[in-house]
Amino acid sequence: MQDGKFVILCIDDDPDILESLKVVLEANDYVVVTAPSAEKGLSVYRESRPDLLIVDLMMEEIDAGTSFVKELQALGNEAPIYMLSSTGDDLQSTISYEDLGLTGVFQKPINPNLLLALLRAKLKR
Amino acid sequence: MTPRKDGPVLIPLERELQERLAWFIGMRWLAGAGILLGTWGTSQLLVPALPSAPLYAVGTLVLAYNVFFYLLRPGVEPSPARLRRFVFAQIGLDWFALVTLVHFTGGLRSPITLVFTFHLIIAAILLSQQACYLLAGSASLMLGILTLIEEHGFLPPPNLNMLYVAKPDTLFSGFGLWLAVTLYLFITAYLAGSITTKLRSKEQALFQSERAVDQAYHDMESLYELGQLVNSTLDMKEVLQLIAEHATRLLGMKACFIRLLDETGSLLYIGGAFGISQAYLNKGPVQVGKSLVDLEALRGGVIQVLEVANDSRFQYREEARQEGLRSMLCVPVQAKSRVLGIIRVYSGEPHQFSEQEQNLLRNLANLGAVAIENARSYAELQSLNEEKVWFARMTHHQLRSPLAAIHGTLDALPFAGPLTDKQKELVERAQRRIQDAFSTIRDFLDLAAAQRPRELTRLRPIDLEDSLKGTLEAIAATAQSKHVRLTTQFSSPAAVLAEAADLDRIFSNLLDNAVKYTSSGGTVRFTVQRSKDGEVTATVSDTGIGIPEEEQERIFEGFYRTKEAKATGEIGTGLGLSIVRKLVERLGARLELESTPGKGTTFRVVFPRADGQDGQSRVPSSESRVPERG
Repeated sequence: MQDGKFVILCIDDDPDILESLKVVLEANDYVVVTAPSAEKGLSVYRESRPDLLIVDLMMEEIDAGTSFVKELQALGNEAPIYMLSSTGDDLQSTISYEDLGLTGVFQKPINPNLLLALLRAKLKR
Repeated sequence: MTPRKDGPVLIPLERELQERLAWFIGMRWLAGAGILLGTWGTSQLLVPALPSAPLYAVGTLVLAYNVFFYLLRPGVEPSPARLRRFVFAQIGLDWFALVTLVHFTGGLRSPITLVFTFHLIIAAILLSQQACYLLAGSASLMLGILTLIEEHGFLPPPNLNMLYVAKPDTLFSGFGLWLAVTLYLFITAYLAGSITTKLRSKEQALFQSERAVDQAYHDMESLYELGQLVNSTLDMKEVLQLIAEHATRLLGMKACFIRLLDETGSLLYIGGAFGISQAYLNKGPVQVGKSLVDLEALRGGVIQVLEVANDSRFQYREEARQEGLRSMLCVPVQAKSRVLGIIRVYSGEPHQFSEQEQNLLRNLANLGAVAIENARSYAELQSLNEEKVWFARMTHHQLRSPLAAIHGTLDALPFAGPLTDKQKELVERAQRRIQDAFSTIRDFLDLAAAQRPRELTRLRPIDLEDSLKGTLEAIAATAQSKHVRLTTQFSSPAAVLAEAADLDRIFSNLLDNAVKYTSSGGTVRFTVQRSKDGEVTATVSDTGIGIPEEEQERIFEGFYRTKEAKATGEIGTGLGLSIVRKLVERLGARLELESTPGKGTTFRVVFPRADGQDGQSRVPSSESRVPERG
């Protein structure tokens, strides 16, 4: 929480995706922090202690994604982590996201209304 | 698989000898009875002077010792030596009986003397020519002694002059007669012996050729069996291992290995081995230049070495000696246009390889060459496919990323400030086109997946209901938003042979189409049924726009859409059904279509039995009920 607002960390290597997420979320009273890589994401995480994370794991190798989640767990993370996935990435059919320590998966492109509904349900004051 | 039977050839002479022995004993019953009856008849009717008492005694003796031989006859598969001893013993006693008979029927002049020749003929059949001469000699000796004794009055023969010409002092009496009988016996021994020897050698040749035919058949059968085994796998290591093992067993050898040339053609590395210790194999690859044997074999030669440890052409003589490898046969493994390597078999004892063994190893090498080429082609195919899949994935990712960013940006636009109605309309139009592009990209990816070669498909039994849960949930959401009723019905269990991703592609395409082209208030049904013979039929039927009959073939072409479909304003590439058809064919299933314009469409996917016991191979056939394009 920052100034009574929930903090959301978005990690994606596509700056345009980050920007559009920022516009949508900030218009709905969330504080958005962003990072272009898992590595930078970890340092942002330490600084801002977000309430929820939206991560595109496919930006790097899947192993990098899973080790990122593990490092978060090592930092004592309790915030929900959502993964962004593209259809056809075959990730869903081969790996269970729960096994990876994820709360849920979002298909790209994200429907803003669905995302906002989910955030409202997940983050309650 | 049984090893070849090379080595000393035994014709079934012994078995035959045994059978004839029984006949010989059988004949003696008649001979004994003949002596008794003959004595009685002759003495009663013709020659009352015949000394019948000793003759009856001889007849009885013959019957008595025949009882003895009958009881002592050798059992199943006696040793040849024992059989021969048995025959000699019988003939020996017969000789004694005959000499006695000859004496008491008037000496050498007696017609009984001729009976010796019968025995010589029997000996020629049962024994060897040498034995025949030996018996002729012994008969001559015994008759000679008898004649001497008789001539010198020690034991005069009974006076039977009424039976014979009464002139005892002619040339053919005494010594002269003995000489004639001896000559007669030896001529019989010679004739009977030579005829049976010739017959026997013919029999032997016949037996050998029969054996060769048997062996060739056995080899062919083994090769066929191995060919089937080899064709059942595309794993090169496994194939070469199989061939090495079979070569060892078939040729009755100690060990076998196959060495293949590396890319440079200068090193031979082990491709498959059997019967050789890991330590020996660990000595590493062979340098072709240093191994003259391999060099010669690679040039197409067949190399045979009687004692490997003594042959200077070998690079690892000491190791071979320690391994117990003695004789070696080496042939090239040759594909159509190039030599791939060599195959060697080793015996544990010194062994001269026959032409048949060389041919067999050559055949095994040929089989190996085909298998290697197959496995290599398969590996190439696999790597080409991997490259294609990687390319499709990368293209997909590269195309999707900017589209997703544009989509996200357009989505975010209303959150950056209020839009006018016209602006909203324009944004929506742009978003629709992007959705359009997304589905095209998705179809391309599916098409690439559907074009994966059939050989690379790994089918396993999958329960349709479990596998399609997610697909059906997604479709249900779309149907609901469109106010189309979706009903599903499964007859459990309905397992089919497939890959899960392919099932998802097939049914999400068919169901998606059904919902897409059924207007609000209509119904889409998905049913899965299993027939008695194990076929599983998955049916997708709708009450939608239908497909005109003349277009029912064309919809399976890529990028083809019916006029009616386009008129609905629904987004579509026209690739979906072409993907479905390819996937269904690859799974060995068949696709059936029934449709009436304005009433609805039914697609049926009929899967063969999942346990593969329908008499069809599990490899999908190229047959499909859906008409071919063009």
